[in-house]
Amino acid sequence: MANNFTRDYERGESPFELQDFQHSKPWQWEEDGMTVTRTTVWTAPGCHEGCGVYVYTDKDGNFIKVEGDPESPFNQGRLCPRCFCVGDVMNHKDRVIYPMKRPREERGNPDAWERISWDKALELCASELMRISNTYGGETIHVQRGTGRDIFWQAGRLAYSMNCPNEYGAMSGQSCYCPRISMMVMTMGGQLLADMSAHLVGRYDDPAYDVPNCTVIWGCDPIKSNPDFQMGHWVTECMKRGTKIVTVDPRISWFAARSEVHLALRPGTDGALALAMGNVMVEEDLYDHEFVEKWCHGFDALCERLREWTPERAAEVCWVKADDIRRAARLIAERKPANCFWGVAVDMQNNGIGAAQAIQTLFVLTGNIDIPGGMLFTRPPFGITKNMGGGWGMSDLPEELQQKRTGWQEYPMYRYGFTASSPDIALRDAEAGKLKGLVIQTTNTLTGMGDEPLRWYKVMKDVEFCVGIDIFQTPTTQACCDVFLPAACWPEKQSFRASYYDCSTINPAVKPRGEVKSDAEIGRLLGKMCNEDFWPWDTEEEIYDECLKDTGFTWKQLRDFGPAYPTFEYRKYEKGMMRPDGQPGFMTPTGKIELYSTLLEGFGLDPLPNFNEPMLGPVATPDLYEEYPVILMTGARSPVFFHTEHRQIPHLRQFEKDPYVELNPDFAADHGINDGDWVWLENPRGKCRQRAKLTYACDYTMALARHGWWFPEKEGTAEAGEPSLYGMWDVNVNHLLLNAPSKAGFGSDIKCVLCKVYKVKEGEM
Amino acid sequence: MSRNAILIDYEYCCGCHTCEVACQKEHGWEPETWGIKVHQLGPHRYEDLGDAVVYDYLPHPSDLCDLCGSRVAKGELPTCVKHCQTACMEYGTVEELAQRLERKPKQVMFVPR
Repeated sequence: MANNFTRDYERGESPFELQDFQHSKPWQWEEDGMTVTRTTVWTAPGCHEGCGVYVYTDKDGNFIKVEGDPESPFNQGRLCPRCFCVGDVMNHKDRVIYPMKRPREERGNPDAWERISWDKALELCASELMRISNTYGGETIHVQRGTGRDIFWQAGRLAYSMNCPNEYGAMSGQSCYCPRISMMVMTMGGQLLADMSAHLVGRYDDPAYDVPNCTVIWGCDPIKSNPDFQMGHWVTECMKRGTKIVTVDPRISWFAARSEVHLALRPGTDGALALAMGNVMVEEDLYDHEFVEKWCHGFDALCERLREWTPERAAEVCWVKADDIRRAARLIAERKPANCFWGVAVDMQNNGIGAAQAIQTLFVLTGNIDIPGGMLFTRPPFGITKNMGGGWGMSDLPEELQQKRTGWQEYPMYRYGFTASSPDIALRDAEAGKLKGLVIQTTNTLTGMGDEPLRWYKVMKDVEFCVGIDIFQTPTTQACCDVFLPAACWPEKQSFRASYYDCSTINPAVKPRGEVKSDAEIGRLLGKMCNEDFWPWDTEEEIYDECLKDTGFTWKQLRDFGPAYPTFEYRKYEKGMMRPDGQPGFMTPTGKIELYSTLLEGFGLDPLPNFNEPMLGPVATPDLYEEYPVILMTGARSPVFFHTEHRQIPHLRQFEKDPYVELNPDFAADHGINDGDWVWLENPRGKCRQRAKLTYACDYTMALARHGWWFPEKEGTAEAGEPSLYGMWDVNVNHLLLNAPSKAGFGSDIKCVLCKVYKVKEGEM
Repeated sequence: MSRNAILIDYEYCCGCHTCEVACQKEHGWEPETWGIKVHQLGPHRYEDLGDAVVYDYLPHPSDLCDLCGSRVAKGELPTCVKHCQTACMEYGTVEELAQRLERKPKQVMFVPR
């Protein structure tokens, strides 16, 4: 595609060509007495996406409003309800806008905080953390961070500058995308995403694009969750253009009601279902012979495994109809191009990697790999990898220290290109007294990611030193921190976003409140005091210039230019673009897509897609199933909250005032439960209470609970010697979960456990 | 002069709450004050439809809706229409939109004033 720009812009040398798109607006202009800033959304507050927006401010830099940017190919002017409330977040009375300090013995006491200067706060953090690192070893510091946002590389690099190899999100089995990514990387040497045209500036009507004939929505509710940095409305746009939908989801989601086939499977049986779909493709000879013969390794071994999984067998395991399995398999095979919008339900089971492998195999067998409208090999735009994940700088640590990363010893897969630590081993080490210092980088571990939160609480609240970085006090920072460093929101900060498709800057639009700083600037200032070698830059802009080097833009040039889209190639494996040696094929030991994984075999793991029963369930524990007859799914996403955030924003809270558990109305009637009643969810591991919401979206045999709830309007004050932490303990569904990942260290039963459900009695609250 | 209206394709309204919050923020309204409110039908399985599931959302402009007169005067779209995540809303004259209504089922036209 020719580059034919209408406006002047500066761009230096770059190996990457650009697609023919340049934003028509400058980065800032005046309109009706207001200043308008064109920028990109990406935390804080939490969001995975990179929507283009215009932020309106008054002459003093105060926020007025936000509008969607209609020229942004990413969101095409559309916004979600959270974006409209960013002003309420920034200007909230509870927001922490100055560095704060509290004596260690006052942890949990919200009244003991005192304002201090940045200099004193940073000095205290650096001296305490380096004392711990030098005394006990860097590995005794844990840097916990939240899900993938503009906080990821900052957390990792800060850890490394303290000689600490341990940065992680505290969710058992890294059960958020990591099982799927690890499986794709090991068997295909790349990462696949459904092609919804997001890498093309002309989107759905771009001549290079084919609208998928079939999209499988597997284990997610895309508009509510926007999984894997993909927007749900990309699916509805394709539906308008003819895409047929297959939904795999225990619930009747909005998409399920619009599907050709809806496979309402038993939670945690995704692997069995996908194996049976593969069985149909092979037995009915629906697979792409040419693709399989030319590009795949291990087809015969795969067939042997698939033969075991007839649709009838899977139907019994998964509680679906065998004929529906056949119909779904045929639709995928016959309606090319087909792709898959899959979600964390795949990861959040002990069998996460087995299920991921089985599902991806369906799109390999049907030759839907890297074709328009199929499953794309994504790559960081302009080769920018530094801001993706937390690993920028890990390789600069001494080998010996890298091997002290939790999980390195225990899980061979963790040594294969992964830099995050195992949260499960981290917890085990912490309980053995090996956790001394803690950095909590914008994550609310005790409320959100942490399964068995009481176990985490016990080890986190007693460390020698703990610093938190966030925009509000959370139950976690309130419980554990000695120092709180206030972070900037996206309209207040300078940064950039590069993720899969394009690269754009985040431009300062609003006068920052108080003394807040961006996560990168906090990392730079604190990291520099720990080890200057990791942070040689004098300003944060210098960091961005370094990250953006291959784009040919400096940060300022990119700001002026707007979102930059590099050219994109389909069928990269035919063109030698998947391997560093430039040969056709894939970056795997055999050079092919490994239907039978030689790496997994080497690690002593099942090399083929497989199925294991969830640890708690009607099949694995029939006795417990009698006492706990409801299959509990957790973590259902809300369109108005991002995980544990936004509960203090009235315009969002108006839609969901309390945590609720979805129950089938017939089940509720049989158990004397009315809509809106508080009910206990209980299993042998623990219990919590949430409000019943009766809906036929949920099957009689199942319940669907919310995660991440706390009540910012309640006090964080002490109760029976322990802080109540904003009423968080009682409603935390993670009490019913376990830190028990699979043998591979990836995947944990988070959306497939058992419980019983009964009404909360008077006086129990 | 023709009246103006909003056409909603409720096959595609997904209940994301964008229109409701965009409207409240545009007009400076408190929570629970609705210029537009999304109603939900289902999910429910109907035997008479061959066991198909009905699961629809429908945004309903209230008497507070002024069709974003001040935005429209500046050549902009009403905020709900502009920001709708599934782009299932359109703004125009009753006459124009009536023609679109003819072309596809599962649509409804609101003429708030």
